Amino acid sequence: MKNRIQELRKARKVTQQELANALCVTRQTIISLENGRYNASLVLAHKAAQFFGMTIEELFIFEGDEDLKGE
Amino acid sequence: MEEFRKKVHKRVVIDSLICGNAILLYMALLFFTKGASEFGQGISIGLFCGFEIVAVYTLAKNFTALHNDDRLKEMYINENDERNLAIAKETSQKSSLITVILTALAAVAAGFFDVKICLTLVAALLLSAVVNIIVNIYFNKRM
Repeated sequence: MKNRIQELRKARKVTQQELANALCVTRQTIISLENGRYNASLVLAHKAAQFFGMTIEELFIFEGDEDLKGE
Repeated sequence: MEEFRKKVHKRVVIDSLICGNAILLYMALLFFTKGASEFGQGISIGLFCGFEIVAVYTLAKNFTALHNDDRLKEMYINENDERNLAIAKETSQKSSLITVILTALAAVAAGFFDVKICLTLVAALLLSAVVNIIVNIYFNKRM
């Protein structure tokens, strides 16, 4: 799942460490989220959306139905 | 964060008890291992020393964190970071699977040389399966 964290973080001139501190995660988690190597949990997605003042749908881009195939 | 502070405080108390009563624990260990083989005593004393070293280290770490808000937050983040928890979960799942496979292979190989070792490994596999089932049932009821 893609997200706009890096784009929004840079636009607001927030460092990865500052964002990590605000979301109570490690900087490595922010790096992994930005690189798309790790998908945030619902709680973290909510926190991130709150931090950027937008909805989860606006921050995280759900592409296609890859996670729904099993259903 | 206050909940976590209480948790760290509890850890400090437990570690202090372990470190403070090291001599008593050592005497108890000597009493219970009296008559055991030198190798057995050596193993238990070695484990005890390792346990005490870990207790001293965690005591120092938790005590420092308890008196320094920045360190406490850092510790909280490191312990509760969801990616770290996900990595720990994946590591535990994969490593236990690899261990079971290697133990099974070792049991088969040992069967050609020594029945006792083979049976011990099979028993270890069975124990692992039983523990797995019990833990699975526990989490099925809990979640």
